Amino acid sequence: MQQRGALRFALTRLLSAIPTLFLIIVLAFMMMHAAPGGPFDEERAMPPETAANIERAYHLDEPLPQQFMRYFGALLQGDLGPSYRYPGYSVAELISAAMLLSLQLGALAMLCALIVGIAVGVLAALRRNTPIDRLLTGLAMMGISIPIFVIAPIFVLVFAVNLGWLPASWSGSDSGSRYLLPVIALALPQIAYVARLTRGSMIEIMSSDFVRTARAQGLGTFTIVRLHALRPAMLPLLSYLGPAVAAVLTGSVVVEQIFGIPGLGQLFVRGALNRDYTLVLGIVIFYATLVIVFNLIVDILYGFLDPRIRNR
Amino acid sequence: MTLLSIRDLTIRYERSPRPVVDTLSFSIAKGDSVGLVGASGSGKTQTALAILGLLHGKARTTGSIRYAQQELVGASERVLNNIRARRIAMVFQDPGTALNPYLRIGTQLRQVVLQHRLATGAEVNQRVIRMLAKTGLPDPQRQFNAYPHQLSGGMRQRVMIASALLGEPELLIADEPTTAIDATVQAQILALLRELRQETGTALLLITHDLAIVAGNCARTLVLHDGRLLEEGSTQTIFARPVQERTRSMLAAVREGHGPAAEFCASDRGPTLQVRDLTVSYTEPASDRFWGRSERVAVQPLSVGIRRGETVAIVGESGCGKTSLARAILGLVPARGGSVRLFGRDLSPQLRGRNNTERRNLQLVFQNPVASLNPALRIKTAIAEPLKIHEPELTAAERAERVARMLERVNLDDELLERLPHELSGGQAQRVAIARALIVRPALLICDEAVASLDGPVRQGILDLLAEEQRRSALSIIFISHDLNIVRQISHRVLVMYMGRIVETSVSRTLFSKPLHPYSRALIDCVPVPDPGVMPPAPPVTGEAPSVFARPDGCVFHPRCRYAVERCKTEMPHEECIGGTLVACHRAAELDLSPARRVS
Repeated sequence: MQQRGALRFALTRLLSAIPTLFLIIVLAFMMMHAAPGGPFDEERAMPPETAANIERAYHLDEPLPQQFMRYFGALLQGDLGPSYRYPGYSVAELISAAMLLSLQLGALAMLCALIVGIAVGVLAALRRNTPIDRLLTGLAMMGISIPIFVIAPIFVLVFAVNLGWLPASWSGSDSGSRYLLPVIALALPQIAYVARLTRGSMIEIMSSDFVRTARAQGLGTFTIVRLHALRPAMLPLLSYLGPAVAAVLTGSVVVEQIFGIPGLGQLFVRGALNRDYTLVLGIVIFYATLVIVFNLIVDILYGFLDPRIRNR
Repeated sequence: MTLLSIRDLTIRYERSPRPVVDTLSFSIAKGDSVGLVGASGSGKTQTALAILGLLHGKARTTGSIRYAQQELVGASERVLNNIRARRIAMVFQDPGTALNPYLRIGTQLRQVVLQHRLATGAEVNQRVIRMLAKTGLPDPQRQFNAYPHQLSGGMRQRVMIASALLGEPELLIADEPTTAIDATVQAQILALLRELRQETGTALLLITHDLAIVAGNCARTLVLHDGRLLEEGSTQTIFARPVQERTRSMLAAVREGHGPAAEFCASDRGPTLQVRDLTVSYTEPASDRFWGRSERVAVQPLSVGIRRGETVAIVGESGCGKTSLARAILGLVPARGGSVRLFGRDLSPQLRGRNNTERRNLQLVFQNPVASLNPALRIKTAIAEPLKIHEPELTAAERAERVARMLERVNLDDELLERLPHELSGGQAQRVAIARALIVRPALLICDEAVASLDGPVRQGILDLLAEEQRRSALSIIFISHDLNIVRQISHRVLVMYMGRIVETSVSRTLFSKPLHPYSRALIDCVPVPDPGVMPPAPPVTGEAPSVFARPDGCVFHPRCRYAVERCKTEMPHEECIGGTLVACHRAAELDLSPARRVS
């Protein structure tokens, strides 16, 4: 009976993701085509005949709705189409080549954000309204308000250029140390968000009736946090994971550009600048699916972490 | 031998001019039972929390709390953690929030055993399960793995008591242990505490606002008012010869309340509201099919009429359908079947199908007064709001005038007009809620547990106000409550509901002197007797009402009925009229359920 409820829930959510995804595809398609210029505009003007030939070959001469139907029809069969600017490569090939590196960076950043963020949040909550708490919340506020495109170049300047401890760019080294700066730059705002969320919910949980009961039972603070408080304090964090994944994806576009990392973000930026319609659309669909799936996982995890939802 | 001795305990909060507990002194001997009584805000819970060092960080405690030569005021957490649970344990008011909803019962209780090294290895679980069994929890092996929300309120309180007794404390502090649960379960929990105390010899500090509970459970009584000790003595003496005026009025509030203000003459009044065969059901995702929803009946077809100027009380345990019935009458949940007629005209089952006149004639007062007022609206705006809808022709000045007059009628000072709901006391907020309901001059007022969260004289004040309003305007009142003591004071007629059915409809006075349904009698017996000379009887019913969604065959009450016979298990009794009382019980005619005259 419970499993059936969970399955029904997951199925309904999956079905409701379909119109969302469709809307995203339509919007991305229109925005891409609304941008001035096209994939084959060059500095040096092509003979009009050649241009017309290329356009015909890629069906760019057709009316927009017809182009969309053609693209969408292929998409339904799992075909993301050929890249316009990397001749000979399909969009799927380009994405799968760049994907691994980006996912590694993103996963490391998320892991880092969760571990450091939760630790900082719990500490600040337990030392509420002391200088430690004020220092930590102050730092978190900074982490949230300074954008990645400011903090990343400063990191490069300080740790790579001035101190020379770490490589300034991806191609500058092939040791694991080249991961360090991009991951930290990517994780920093997320650490701050996670810490703030954890602090808030931890303070709430620590003043709840059941924590008072635990104190009346003579349990020490460490036991109370570990056994009673940590899990419920994590719940608000869970619903932040969806948006966090989206934020890390956005961040990776900037970070990969700054550190010269050949990942999805860089591919996306190049595609957009070159009006490589199919490539951009492919990456948008990939990102959107990732965010939707993550939100779905979060919703299902919720049920597992909160017994009251699980048995409803 | 003195266990606990408190001298000049004073608790003060930053930014608060007056201490919440003021130079309080008392002591508790080994095996003693002490009742700490007072209205809400009198400092009783603060005192209990101070003993265990559980006060909020902003509280400043001075004076002395000594437990077996150990000073507890200002003691370190380490010292306190050795006292907590091991020497002094505490049972909290609301078992719904006092247990961790994310952890299995067993996990929470095991930790107490582990923390105080009371057992090791497999013994740990054994000890927990034995204690759960001792508190009367059915099937403790299975409940060990249950989460708190899977248990009923009464069972959760048993778990709470088990967790407190695991460390075999010498003193048990119980802070309003039965306030959040039904009267039938309250009787069971209090009996359990008496039983366990007899067995273990644990001393008890019972904190309550209800003097009647103290009467049967405590040898000594302390009366607290505004953080000061008002009166102290043996419970016998306090009840027989209270010295202080305040104690006397508290006693008067729990003793035989005066009946409804005006005697009700049935013949000369027309009906306000007629409910015929009303059915309420809810739908939820089907559990036996993949798609679709299944229907669950909360109120079985039932009929009732209310006349002008009459107060009809609906009593029953939580989950019996009394609130569903009220909501269906108001149109807040659509009735599945049957009809509601106001002054002889059918009302739409849906609220949006009713016109403004129909809506204004039915008004509602909720249980939690502060939560039922919009926290962002000032009192004057909140009270005036219904007027804007129902009498839009009024000018702002006329509205203000009406609000001011209404405020005077509910005995509130007009300086409250500019306040926000959270700046009011519970009693004041409930008066505001009543003012807001009555300002549109309704024909019927539905009070859903409207005084359940108020205590003592404040509660009495609200009841008097309702009676006064009824006298003034022939207002009809439906009064929903689980507390028979209140019902007795205010109602003309009483409907006793059980699992979505009315089992007895009786004139108030008759119900208490000559109940016909075994369930009505059980409810009457559950009311604690405010007399220390009377030994509290054994709980009249065991267990709790099952969910209305798991209705037994035959008479719905038979599994808990001590008079049930074979016929009750198979055949549903129909309502019959015996001496003016409607009752649905096969044995109503043969049983004599009149409560024995109480010894005083």
